[in-house]
Amino acid sequence: MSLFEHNNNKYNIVGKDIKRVDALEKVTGTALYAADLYKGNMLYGGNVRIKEYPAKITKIDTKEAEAIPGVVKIITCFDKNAKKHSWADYCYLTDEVKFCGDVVAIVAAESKKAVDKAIKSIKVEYELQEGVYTIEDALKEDAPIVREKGVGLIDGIPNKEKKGNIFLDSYYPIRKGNVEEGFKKCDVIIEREFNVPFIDQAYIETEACLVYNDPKDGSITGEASAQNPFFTRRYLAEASGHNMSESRFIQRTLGGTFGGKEEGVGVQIGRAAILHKATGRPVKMVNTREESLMDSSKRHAFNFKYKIGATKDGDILAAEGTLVDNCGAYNNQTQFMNWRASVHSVGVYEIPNVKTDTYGVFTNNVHGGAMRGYSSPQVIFAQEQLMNELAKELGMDSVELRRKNIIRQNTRTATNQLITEEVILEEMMDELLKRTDYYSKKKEFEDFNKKDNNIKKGISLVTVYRGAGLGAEGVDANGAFIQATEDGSVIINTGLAENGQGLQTAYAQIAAEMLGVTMDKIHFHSVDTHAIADSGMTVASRGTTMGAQSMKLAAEKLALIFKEHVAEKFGTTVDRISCKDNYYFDIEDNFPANYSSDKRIAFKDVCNERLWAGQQLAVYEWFRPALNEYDHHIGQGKAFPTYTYNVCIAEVEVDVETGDIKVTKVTSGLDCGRVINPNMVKGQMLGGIVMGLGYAITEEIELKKGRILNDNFDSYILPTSMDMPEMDVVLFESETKEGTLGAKSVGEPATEAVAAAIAGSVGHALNKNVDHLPCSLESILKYMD
Amino acid sequence: MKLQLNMTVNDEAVNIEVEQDARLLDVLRDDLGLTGTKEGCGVGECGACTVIIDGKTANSCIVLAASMDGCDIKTIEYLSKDGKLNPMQQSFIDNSALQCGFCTPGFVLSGISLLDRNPNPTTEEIKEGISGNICRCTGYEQIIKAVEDVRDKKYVKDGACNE
Amino acid sequence: MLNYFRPKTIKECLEFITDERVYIAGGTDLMVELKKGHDLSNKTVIDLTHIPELSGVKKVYGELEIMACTTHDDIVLNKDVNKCLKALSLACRTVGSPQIRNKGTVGGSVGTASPASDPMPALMLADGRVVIINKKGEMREEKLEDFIIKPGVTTLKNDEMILSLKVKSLEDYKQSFFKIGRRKALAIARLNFAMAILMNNDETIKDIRIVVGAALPVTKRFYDIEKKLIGKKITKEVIEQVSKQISEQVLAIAGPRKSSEYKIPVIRNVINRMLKEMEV
Repeated sequence: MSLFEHNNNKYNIVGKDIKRVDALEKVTGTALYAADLYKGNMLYGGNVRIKEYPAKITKIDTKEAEAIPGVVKIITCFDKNAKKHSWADYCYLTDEVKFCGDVVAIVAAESKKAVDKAIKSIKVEYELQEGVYTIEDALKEDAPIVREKGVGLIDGIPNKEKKGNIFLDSYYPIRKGNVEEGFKKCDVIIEREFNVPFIDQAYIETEACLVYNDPKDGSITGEASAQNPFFTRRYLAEASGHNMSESRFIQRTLGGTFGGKEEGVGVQIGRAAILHKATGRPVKMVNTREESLMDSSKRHAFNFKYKIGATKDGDILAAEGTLVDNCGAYNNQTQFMNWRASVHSVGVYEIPNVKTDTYGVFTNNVHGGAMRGYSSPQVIFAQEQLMNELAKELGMDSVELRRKNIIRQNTRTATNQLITEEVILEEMMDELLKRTDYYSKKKEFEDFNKKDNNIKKGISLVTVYRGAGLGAEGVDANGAFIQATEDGSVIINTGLAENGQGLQTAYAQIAAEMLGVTMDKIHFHSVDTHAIADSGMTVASRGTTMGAQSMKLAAEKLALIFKEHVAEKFGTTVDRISCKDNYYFDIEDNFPANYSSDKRIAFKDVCNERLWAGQQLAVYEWFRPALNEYDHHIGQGKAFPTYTYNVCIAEVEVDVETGDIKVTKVTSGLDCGRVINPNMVKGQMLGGIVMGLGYAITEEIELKKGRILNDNFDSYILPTSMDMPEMDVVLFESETKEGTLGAKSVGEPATEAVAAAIAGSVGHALNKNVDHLPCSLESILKYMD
Repeated sequence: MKLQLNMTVNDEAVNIEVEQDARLLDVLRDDLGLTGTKEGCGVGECGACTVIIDGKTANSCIVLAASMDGCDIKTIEYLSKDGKLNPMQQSFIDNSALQCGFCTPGFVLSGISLLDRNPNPTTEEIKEGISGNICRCTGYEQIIKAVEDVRDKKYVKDGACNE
Repeated sequence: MLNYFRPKTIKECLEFITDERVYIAGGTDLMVELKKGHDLSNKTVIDLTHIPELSGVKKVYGELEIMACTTHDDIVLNKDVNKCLKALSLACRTVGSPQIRNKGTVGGSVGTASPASDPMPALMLADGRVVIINKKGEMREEKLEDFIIKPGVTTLKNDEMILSLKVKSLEDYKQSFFKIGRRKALAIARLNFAMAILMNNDETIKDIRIVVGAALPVTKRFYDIEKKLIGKKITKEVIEQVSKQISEQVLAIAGPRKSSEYKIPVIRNVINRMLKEMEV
């Protein structure tokens, strides 16, 4: 790893390789994940599903199941009192099964075994209906209607005047300049189509929750491994019929999420709450891997149709595209995600004329949702292959085509946003080209490929950018609470969740830095909805760049209050007071070499004095960024406050006789703004590369009439340690006024370009346009036909 | 019908009645409270449930508990029983070799087991040695580095760093 | 109700055998079946993993006898197997993962009759025979090709169990094993291949053995093609011809399925490549 630092790092803790604050509990196995929770008198819950969809349930016979020893309660979709529809489109229970995850009855029993037995004994009768499964079929004129709210196309544009399968809320156009005029000036115009399948987040921990009653806290308490604690509370309160003030949600250690533990965990906790309400006993629900794959959202499948044109010198003048994704049967994500897709629909390139239409279609499949990138891995895959194809058509080097057209400072994006901040994309490209020895390798590979080998080698570079945080998708607001205690230790509390990405370590670093205390003094209290206000979701790689803003403000404010306290004691002004390693001192003194006890005061002594003097020891702060001006009707305006830039180079060896691909090396450079913790950013990047490798080569949800055929990790293929490539990670710092202490997004940028780069290098090796993912064994053989 | 089972778990004799078709994983978690052993897939593909049985790693999700009579089983909880970290655990912390942590106990045990059988593995052998454990967060590199550091004797017995 | 037995000797084991018996040889397949809903109630589950006699490799008269509950890992580490049937060492090393190899056994792999078994091509390469014992203690031997009828089905009778596998020592042969999977570990074979060759001094073939797995319901050794090669030199033409014949034979048996689109040309490519490597 290399780090290209800014020379203005004045911090002691921020920017350093601080060890994770949650590492000890994780290496000892003592970290408690939701499935590790047990309670006296606890029941286990389970779900009854059918194997064909869509279907209308006509009868459920529970008689035999009820007689099984240990079975306590069965609630079916015909139960009048049961809450069926959730606030977010998904169903807790339904008699109109639309996809494989839909549940027709739920069971509570004394043991897991009794639950399993009951599920098998419940007889469900249904009438099978005609379904729609692919994007192509969903768009056919005579297609069955999956959802009442679906609309059709009029002149190629979603229109509510016509019935169909399009999810109107997920439609986002971009209209910049005039594409017809733009294409007229082009020397070369190409049209290409691409498609990608659904894939799964495949976190190793499946969804789990425990719901119980603790009268002290209100009427219902839920604990789960959830990515969005406040959304989860909403399901908990709704399903149980309690006020939010009586519904407490406690976040447990999260065993991976990547966008997946949002609605799935919400619906699960809702079902557990229904069973809890009916039995009055604690109810625990843990998904099997098979259930997790059926029930949890997927990275959307997409079909892309692009047209792009350039002058013979490689100036791209116009781009046009239709981006259609598969929403599945219910959806509460595509209407947000497709906005991001539309903003980035023509990549990190300055193109004067752009016309794209992005929309989703309902089908009888599992729903598309969030997965690390929120549309970007799909869009970038298609967009960057398109760039390679355009370069080929122009007879131009594909890197030079990118160099010519990339967004720079004072240029405008597809949404016509003027980029005023520093853009270091070109420097990043040059550094990566240099450290991979790109051009000599490219030549070497091309010479090698001319020989009669079964191995073909390829190398490919992609350039991308990503709007940091929520942008105009929502309000990126958040709150944080910081309290010092009399012994000098500090509790920090925020509405955002540790997903495993290292959020608590980064927040603790920021708080420690602001206060001048050492890391061991900071304790991160994970989300408890009774202890902190709703700060939105831990999504969109907003945790550090945007979510930590309120933490910084709170810590800053507490630091100031304490400095005033010390200044008064020292009889000096506050600007002369500083705190380092848990001691306040006068900056005129040469700390620490020269300090003596009368010239310094311990942080803990300040805390103690303030406690007994009845002075403030805690601060709560709220952060709300400036709103972006954006016109959603034409997709023009300021989409995001700042962007993260990424360059990725992949190298592959393809065995054309077997279809086997070896990804030999991936080099990835990221503009992080400011790096808060280099080792943790590196960890995000490395993990992102291997996740991208899975997307490129092996991962695909195989569907047959909405049924998931590969429903466990023996057939849904994740990369192992023996599949990982050599990896080189390069972190760049740049100047931005946005983002906490100048930090930009990391989590999603770390993975979004990787599959595109690998596909590009496969395309280079085979001299073909890779038009779909994954590059499976079979697909390589087909390219060779 | 239940079955009497006598085994040694983390150096302690365990006499317990189990269902004949119970999985070792469930007995460890539900009956013995050893929840450091995790379930990720239930079909022996992810390694989150890795334990060491008679000196060799196994996926406890596909081990019949009844079959463990007379066996010696070690779980993640064994390693820091005396309050000190095993060098492998310390190396995982120092190398940032974990993120969400769900797969971590399995990886730590696979790493230890590998070095027990081959004290001086190459990087390729380390990759093979941990190939039965899937990590979705880290991309494996920092995990491999953690095993290499233990191999290279960077840690003395109590987990403190030699350097 | 499931009945579980854990015999300590073969003799004790035979006493437990009933018509409804199910064996655990390592459990790596059975436990997965159990999870996927395989009904074991009213079955007698006989756990073979605590019988010391059923584990280990013996070398006798140019043959290896591999006891049924020898784990894949034991085979990888076994010096005799490494020397006499290298292809089997290589094959067992590609099975699943370290955890699976520590538990899974070669007898279990044969008994479940999975078409994608990794040891199977190597066992067939060496004229593998299954040694079977019945409740009365009577023994019989059967060639692997005859023993396996179709996926999951063998000739093993209800009162029988697999005792061991006997393979010929191919010590003097040049051997290879090749597996194609979707990833490099934890992979189910998309195709696997084993080959062994013994040359005369005049560079003609003295003996050759070719096995392809995961292409057909039962792993297949190509005896007829092997026979025609004896006495021939490995020329480019021969290589082309053999790889073509094998892929055509597979296609003829398998018929035009969806997976054939991939497998048929790849079988041809890989046989071609393995033969070339044999030549060097």
